[in-house]
Amino acid sequence: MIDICDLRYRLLHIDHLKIPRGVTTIIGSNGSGKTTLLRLSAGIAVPESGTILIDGVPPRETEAGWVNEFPDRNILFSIAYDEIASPLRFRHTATDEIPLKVNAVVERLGIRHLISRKVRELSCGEKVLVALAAALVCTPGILLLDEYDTHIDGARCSQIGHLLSASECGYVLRCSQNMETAATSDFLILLDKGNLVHAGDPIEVFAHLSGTPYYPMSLKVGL
Amino acid sequence: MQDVRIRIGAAAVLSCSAFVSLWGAAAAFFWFLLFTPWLKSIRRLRFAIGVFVMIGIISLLLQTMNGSGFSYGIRLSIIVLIGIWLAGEYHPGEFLHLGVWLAGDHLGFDLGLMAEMGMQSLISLLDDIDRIRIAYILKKIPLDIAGIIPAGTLLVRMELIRAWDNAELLAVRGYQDGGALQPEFKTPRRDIAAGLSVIPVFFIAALQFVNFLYFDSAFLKGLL
Amino acid sequence: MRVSLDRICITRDNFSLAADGTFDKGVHLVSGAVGSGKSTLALCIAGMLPLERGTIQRSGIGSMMLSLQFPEHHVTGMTTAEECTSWGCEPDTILPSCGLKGHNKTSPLALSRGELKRLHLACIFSKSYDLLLLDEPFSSLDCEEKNAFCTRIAHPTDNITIIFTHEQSILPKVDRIWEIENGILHDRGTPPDALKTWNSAPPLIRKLVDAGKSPRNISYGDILEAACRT
Repeated sequence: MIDICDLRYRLLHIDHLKIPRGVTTIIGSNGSGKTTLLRLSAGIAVPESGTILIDGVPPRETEAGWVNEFPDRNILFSIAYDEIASPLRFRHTATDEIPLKVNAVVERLGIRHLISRKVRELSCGEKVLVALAAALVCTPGILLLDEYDTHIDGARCSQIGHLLSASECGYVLRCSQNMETAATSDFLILLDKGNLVHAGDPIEVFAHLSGTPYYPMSLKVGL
Repeated sequence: MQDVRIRIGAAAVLSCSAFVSLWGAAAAFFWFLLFTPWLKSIRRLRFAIGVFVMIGIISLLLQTMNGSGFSYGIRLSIIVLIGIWLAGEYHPGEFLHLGVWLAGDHLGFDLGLMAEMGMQSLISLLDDIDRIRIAYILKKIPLDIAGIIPAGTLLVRMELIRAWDNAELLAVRGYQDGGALQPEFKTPRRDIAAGLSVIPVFFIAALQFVNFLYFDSAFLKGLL
Repeated sequence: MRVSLDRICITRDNFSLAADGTFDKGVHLVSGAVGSGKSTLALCIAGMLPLERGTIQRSGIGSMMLSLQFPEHHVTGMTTAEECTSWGCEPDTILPSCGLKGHNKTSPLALSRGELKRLHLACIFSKSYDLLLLDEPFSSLDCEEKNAFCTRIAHPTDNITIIFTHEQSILPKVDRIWEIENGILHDRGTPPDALKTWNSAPPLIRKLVDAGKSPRNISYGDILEAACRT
């Protein structure tokens, strides 16, 4: 369980929230605090007060995989292989294990054809896949994806959705403006102006959003 | 030249040789013609026009002051040519391997990482310049002298934002101190031949320099 | 007023794109997978990128604007007020309209991407252009903002608007649908006929068409109407 208690950070204000294992989607308007909650869960930011614990452990002591919203902000190196291998290298993993782990993750994501390419020449969708590979290569306990689906098309989005469901990560936390994607999650969180509005089963949360642009079309038309 | 160790070592020796003597500069230029795809480097000369203009101005001043301007101009021009060749030969990722080979998993990896990220920043800077140019065109704002300062300030801000993003990405990917890497280099025979050929260039430069020190240098004569 | 692509060919890095067709007055949607060349095509139509072959003719086009996918690529001002002025807009009118009242002195790069996108779309829509090219206008917008954008696009205008997007959820009513597939720009035609041959149609539209309930157009309202049909 991800346990959030009396969390305060800038505009974000969450008294109590428990996030179960599985795929959780955070939805809300721009400026509602979605990215802030992700950054706190990744340990990139530290709460001003309150706590956030992942299975009883602070985020900075948890293995986290992070994919930024903007494809160009996930790039440290020129070549895709170096990008994907970087978390292993930074952790001083044995050098003979690094190629094995990189190969395993590129096979799983089906991006072998990209590993020798220059990252900046890849399409947005390919950059997202490389960033995802870099995030997954260390088998993180928590995977955080900030609106990764904004810059990729439906087919790629679907592919990544399947990969996330099948991943070994205990927790997948993602932000999305795609309500159809959000409807497939295990758990849904709705934020508004930094406050927690609803959290729970997607069907229950969406029931409160009927008549708003946040209600998934698929639920509305019953398809 | 595929082996970055030989390439950088050769460039360092050739630059020093070209700097200390005219004979060294001539030998370095001969080496440049023999061992590099010099036509590609010549095509890239336009990027260094500003530098050549500066060298030209200083050379003229020196020539009028003490008659050494032409020598200076030729020597510096050869050094810039070697620099252009070196920059054009960069292969992404090689600085990391070079750093670890030179100084190990901690300091070496950090130095290599800094160099790689520096190259990335340079490439991103060129992209940003292009984007700012397009933004100005779309808004029909002339990019004149008055527009350069705000455009330059924007570039600096973008680089700072990028640096911040990179810092966060490094942290979240677990970077603390150094990293594990098995350095790998491709060293074809041509690279070895080119590397060894730098030695005579060095001796030619050293010979003329020693000759100057012992026989031509008024300062040294005065000391002795 | 029209934009004619006469057997153009664009080659960049690892892809090439061939296009031949005419964009008349109205709202056009150019769809396609990410990396298919939509942004590149937008840049070429705007005259920002050279063509390898063919010509683009812009007849009766006096004014043109291209909205880029990433709003920070448009920034030229040091403050949001300067940014509005750089677009030829009045900050006191534009900033309140996009929820940035009181942010005159804020740096545009300090805004979130959603705020920056709202700002630059507000500046673009405050003026009228004979040819308006919008590259991924939905990216960085939330659902409410996407809806507002679709409402704005639906206002009748006497110009050519071309929307390049891979958006699958919230779309405006359009007059013509185009699709980039396998390196070729295909003219799918006008809705509802176009929906039958539109391969990258959103899944919901695809399901409705397969069920024999083809929407009249591709907006939220049209899809709802089609789904409720008996």
